Amino acid sequence: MSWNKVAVVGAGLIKMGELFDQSYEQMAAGAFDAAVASVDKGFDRTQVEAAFVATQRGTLWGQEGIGGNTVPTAIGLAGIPCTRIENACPSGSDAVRVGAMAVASGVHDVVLVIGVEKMRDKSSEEGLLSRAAAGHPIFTRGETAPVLFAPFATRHMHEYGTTREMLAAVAVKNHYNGARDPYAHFRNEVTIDDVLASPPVCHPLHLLDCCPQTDGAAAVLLVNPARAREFTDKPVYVAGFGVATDHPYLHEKDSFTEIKATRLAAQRAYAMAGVSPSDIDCAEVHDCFTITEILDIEDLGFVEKGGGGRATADGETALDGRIPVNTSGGLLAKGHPIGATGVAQITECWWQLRGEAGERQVDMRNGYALQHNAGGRGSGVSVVNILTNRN
Amino acid sequence: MFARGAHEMLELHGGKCVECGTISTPPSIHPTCIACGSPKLEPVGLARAGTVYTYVVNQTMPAPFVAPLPLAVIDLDDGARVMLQVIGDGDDIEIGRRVELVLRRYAFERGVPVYGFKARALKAEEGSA
Repeated sequence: MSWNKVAVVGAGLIKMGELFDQSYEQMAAGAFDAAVASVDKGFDRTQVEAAFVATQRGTLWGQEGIGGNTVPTAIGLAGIPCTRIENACPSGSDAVRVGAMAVASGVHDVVLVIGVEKMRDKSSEEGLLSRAAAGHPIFTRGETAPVLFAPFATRHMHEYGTTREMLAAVAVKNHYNGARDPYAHFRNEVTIDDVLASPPVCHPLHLLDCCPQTDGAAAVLLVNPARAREFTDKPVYVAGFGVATDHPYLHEKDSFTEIKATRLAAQRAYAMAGVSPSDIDCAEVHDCFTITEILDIEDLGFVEKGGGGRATADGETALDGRIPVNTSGGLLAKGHPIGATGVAQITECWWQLRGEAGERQVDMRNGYALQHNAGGRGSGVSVVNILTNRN
Repeated sequence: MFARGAHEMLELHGGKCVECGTISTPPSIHPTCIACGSPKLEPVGLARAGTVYTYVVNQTMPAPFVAPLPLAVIDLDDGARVMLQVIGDGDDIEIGRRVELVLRRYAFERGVPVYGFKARALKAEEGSA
């Protein structure tokens, strides 16, 4: 029996991309409007009792002073309780979890969870430098984002014979899906050869193994399930969730062929939802790099450890595969506006569960979708949320 | 913040767990053992040689960094694990490669040179532990 103590009655996002013409506030308002417009029976914005905002980069990347008060004013709800959640790349997923707990506790009946991130206002060089010189002065010197995942690729290739072509198959699949998602940053398909021939970024990862830097925002509306029918006849429920942490520095890892925090978070989420990996119909997972998705689908239990590359190359995670993964295009094609990423993934799951994903729609025979992010230093934070249309 | 970590990095210290023997390093960021959580750690000097467990070569680095920059996770001969920059362009690095740790300059901070250990790949004939 799934948890189901919270219903998702609205979800939406803005077109992802390099949004130099939109402010943080305008992106937030756009996402909120999209979520409000998605509510089947209409939604008066003043029904929002509280909000949780996910923004990760904050003061690092020019969003100085983003607290809980920026978004309420931007969406015309100044005065409501609002808290900013920062928890690395899973900030958006964790805000959904925290918002769900606020509803399930009985404190609030209607909660807005919104993720907003401006990634492109600072130059790539500034962003790289802020990462390369951050953290421990010696052990993380030179640790830009690809350094957090490339050592896993090196080791996975060594232990399991995973190839660059298998990594590339992740990018090819996700760009194929992104080309069919009107909200995706990149809407072009790529080939295995395109990925292999793209410039090296951090051996063994090349440019098309990496997600882009993307501006974006997404929002969901969570309500007490007893009131869900006021808003829709097709509610989606939060079936369960799990969060886990692992050591922050790479040299503290036991293994470079799994993201331990993901394995632990998944165990907790499956137990709470009362389901197993084989019950999941589709999943939005953290593919910041191609290797990350291969680790994810193993750590989430969709394929055996070491088999993620082969399974992807064989089409098991494609739209028409055994377990479709990243139907939205994933971070690789849809983009990774960090705080917004998890909320946007929830939106894709919501569409899939309601049969509204258009040409990306997959067969939801069991009625369960899984959403996952991992990140932070050493990929030491992982969040898994499971949604269902069954109650 | 080089000032806080400089001493322990120059002397290459770890904290060895009295309970389970695991070495956590460096001590300044490890008040407790990474394996069992025990607060009982004794300072130890780390081995100066080890074996590459996994590595990357970072080819996208802003100034003042110089690309390519190899970085390796190294299992030291005393069982401690560290992640350090590797001298050179990465051509001589691979999983299983023996390395020695040598003192090198990492950066200038506020005009002051900052030193720490980097790894240097050993040739096959140098590699026996």
